Amino acid sequence: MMRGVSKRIGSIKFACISPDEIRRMSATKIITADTYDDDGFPIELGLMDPHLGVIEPGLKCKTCGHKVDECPGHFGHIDLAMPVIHVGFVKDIKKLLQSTCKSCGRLVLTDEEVKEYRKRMDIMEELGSDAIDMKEFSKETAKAAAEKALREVCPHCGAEQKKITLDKPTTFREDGHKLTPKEVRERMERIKDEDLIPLGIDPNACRPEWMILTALPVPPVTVRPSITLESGDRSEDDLTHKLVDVLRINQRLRENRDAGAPQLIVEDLWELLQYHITTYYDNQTSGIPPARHRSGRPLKTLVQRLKGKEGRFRSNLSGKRVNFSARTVVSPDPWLSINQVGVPVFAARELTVPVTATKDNLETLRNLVKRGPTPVSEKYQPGVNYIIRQDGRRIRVTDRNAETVAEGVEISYIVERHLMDGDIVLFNRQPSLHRMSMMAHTVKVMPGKTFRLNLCVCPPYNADFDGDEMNMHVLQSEEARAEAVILMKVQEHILSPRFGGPIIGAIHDHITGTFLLTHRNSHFDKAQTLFIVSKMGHNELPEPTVEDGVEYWTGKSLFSTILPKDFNTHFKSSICQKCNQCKKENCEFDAYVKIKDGKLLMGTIDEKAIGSFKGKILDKIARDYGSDMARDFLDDVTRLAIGSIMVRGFSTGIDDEDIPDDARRQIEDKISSTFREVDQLVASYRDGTLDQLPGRSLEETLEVEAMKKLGEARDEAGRIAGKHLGLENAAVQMAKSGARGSMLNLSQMAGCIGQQAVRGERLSRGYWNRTLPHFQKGDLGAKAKGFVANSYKSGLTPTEFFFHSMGGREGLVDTAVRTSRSGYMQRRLINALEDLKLKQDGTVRNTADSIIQFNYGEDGIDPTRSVQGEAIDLDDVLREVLGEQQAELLSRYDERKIGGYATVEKDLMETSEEEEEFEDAEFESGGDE
Amino acid sequence: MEESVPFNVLSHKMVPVHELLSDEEVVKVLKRLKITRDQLPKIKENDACIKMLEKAMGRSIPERSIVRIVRDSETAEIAEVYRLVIRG
Repeated sequence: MMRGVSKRIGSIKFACISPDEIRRMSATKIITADTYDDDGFPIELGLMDPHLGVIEPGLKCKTCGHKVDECPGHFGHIDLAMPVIHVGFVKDIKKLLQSTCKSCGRLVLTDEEVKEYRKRMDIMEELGSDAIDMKEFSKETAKAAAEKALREVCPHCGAEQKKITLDKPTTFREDGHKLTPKEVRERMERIKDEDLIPLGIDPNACRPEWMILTALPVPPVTVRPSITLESGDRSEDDLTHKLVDVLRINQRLRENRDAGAPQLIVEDLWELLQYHITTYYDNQTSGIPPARHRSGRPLKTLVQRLKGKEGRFRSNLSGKRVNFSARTVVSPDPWLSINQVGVPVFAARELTVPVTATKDNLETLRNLVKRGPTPVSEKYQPGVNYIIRQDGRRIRVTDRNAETVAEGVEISYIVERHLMDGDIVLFNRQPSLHRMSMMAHTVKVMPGKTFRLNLCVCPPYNADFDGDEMNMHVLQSEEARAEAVILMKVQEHILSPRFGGPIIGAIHDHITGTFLLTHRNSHFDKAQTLFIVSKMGHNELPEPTVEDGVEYWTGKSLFSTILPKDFNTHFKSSICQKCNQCKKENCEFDAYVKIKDGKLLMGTIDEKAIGSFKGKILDKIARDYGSDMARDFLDDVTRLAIGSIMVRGFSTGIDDEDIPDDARRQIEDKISSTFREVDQLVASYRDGTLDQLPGRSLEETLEVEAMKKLGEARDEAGRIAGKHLGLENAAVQMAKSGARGSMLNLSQMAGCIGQQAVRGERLSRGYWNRTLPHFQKGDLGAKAKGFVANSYKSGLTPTEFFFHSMGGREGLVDTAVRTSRSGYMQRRLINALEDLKLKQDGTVRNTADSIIQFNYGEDGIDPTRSVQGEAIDLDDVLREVLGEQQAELLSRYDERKIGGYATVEKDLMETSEEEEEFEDAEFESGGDE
Repeated sequence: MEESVPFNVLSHKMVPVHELLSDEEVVKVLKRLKITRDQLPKIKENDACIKMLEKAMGRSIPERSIVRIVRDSETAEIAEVYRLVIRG
């Protein structure tokens, strides 16, 4: 209805309201403190006056004649018997009183000085100072005037100035004498308009005397509705209670003043009125007791309604609740595309999409409506919950009236049909830390009660299935849907703007799956191959290899079927041993991946190839072939991996960490020899023969040396254990291929857990000079300071277990502290940067159109479209243009300079593997929901 | 300007090159960027770099002047930015 009507808001100005305006906008004067009469009707000129709006259905507003919901409510006003200071303005009033003359009301600065200040303000404005700078400057002006007033006489009338102090919250004193609000108001009136400008006040928007109230606006009843309890009693809003107080005291004050009561009584009442009005605005003003309800609960007045996390701004404006949304637990489904989301039938029947009837879809829609809100059929069929007629009336479709309502559907009716396969929705998981936290999916309605998603989209959402819940929002307009499809589809976010690589990719079992499929010359017979290929659906069976008359298919050829036909690349996979001299094509570990013309010639497909964050193949496909191709590739990889892991079978258990007795003995020997070495260190420390390290004390030297020795022992134990854990071991397969876990984890399970540390030092706290009473005081040996010689599999001794818990606790505390800190930082960063925008000319500007960055990121490159942060991948271009050999020669000839952001990031990704292992270990200890 | 500057900050390797734009350059830059002065990022008159620049040039740099800062960039090798001198 409002389509085509567009008004642009030019500016919004906040200003003080004058008593005159309060009276002019007032629908009625409020005099009596009573609200309702004995019959329950609102009293005229009372706080519930029918002129103030309607809250009861059926009644009409006496001011505008509209009914509930149509009448916005109207302000009334209370004429105050005596003026009262507005708490919100005390600071400004104080500033004005101090910087102006007590007798002539002029600013206590000479005309020349004023001119100077005004000139500065003009320059500041011209040079683009914002409101905060201007406020800061006018504060300086006021301060200068106030200081001058204390030293000198008024330059205009020569009157001597006295010191003005503020008695919190609202009492002003001049040399100790109380200034009544009336006197304050008189002074404010005397201040000239032109003197206000240097003080940062626009006289057109605000006269200072308006800061002292003579009339109080009474908010409409719609702002402070009364509730009727079940017992029939009325319960009034806190604001109404406060207004009743104001009215009562105001009345008494007027009567006493008119009757010529003693000054003392009038002043007391006046102060009481001041108190009530102060608490009406802010019931948490420091220096006065908060006004309380009869029950003792402090009243929620105006400021309390707006302020804080539960206030109007943060909870109702920034954090608005929405319709057409759903939330439930998520669970995985590898048969879904990465773009899809499985929606339970329950939710689909509740969530609707509005469809406007046209001559082309009228019949379809009528059929849809005919089904009613709960169609019964074998397959899910969308029904209709409501239809909306041209006049905006909503008609509920029930099973009973479905037939008749369907007949009545005409062109331009809006039909709210259930969600169906293919609808576009937004899917989100909190905390929404980056743009990939909310992406557009297409709906697939499914039985069950959970949202289903493809496992490849777990990394961007940071979701797992240990009870995570996610939100879904159904888009309601054609524009929103178009925008979502183009910008927010999952496939458009495969490459992350964070590091210019894929953030969506295979994880866990999918990596294990492709590893099993492609490692060395694994091959499958016809039945197995058909089983695998059948999972993918559309691919043709590749040519079989025949050996001794038996047909079989290699895993590499099966993987090749999902690659684009002209795909070329080569790289080192995750299982690479990092030999000093890479043998490339002749790699004996099958770790050198080479793909030519869409054929996987050699190498193992693992995390480096298809994993999220690292997948090289994925990265190249997304970059060179576009998002559609990348989506298809991911879907295929998922199914291929699932198929091959099912054919081969895959499981891991405690026996994967079994090592021969011989190895066990070797580890024990190593550890006990290290213990002896540590004891020797301690002995040499005791008798003073320990060589001190430069820059360290003797104690520190001992600690460093001991830590080093014990660290070596753990590594050695891990190495010995690792020797007996080959690539045929399932746990090792997962660790080496990057699917899950690390070799460190395995060596801790099979070999030795190692030194426990708190704050990077061996454990030392607990009892006097010892960690536990099981040890001698002053024992500095390995066992006494937290070395765990056992493995997770062999089991820990009680003391070891205690030490291990100490180390573990630090990890937990760290993660808890880190998340809360970084969350707060994130919030502040978002608030500071939310209005920045990249403009057409490549500059980054804020909403004031000021330049923040002259060229986005200084190089103007979109990191999403960059190659690991760089504008173009020169090697790749060369290879494509010149062919493999020549490019190889060229790149060898021209060793590119190292430096700059892109290489730094790449280096990090390449070298941080050892660190990652530790990170992973941390995850393990504290990673559950 | 009366205060003595302990050492030349501009010669420090972490401090990028600052140079004052001539009037013609100012016009050219503003025209190229299609902006007015107030849309530029600011630098305070009492910034150590501005004070040093004044000393080196032997004249004061008035408010409203524009300085060009050329710094090494991690992404673009060299980045050129402009700042408007304001009173500190």
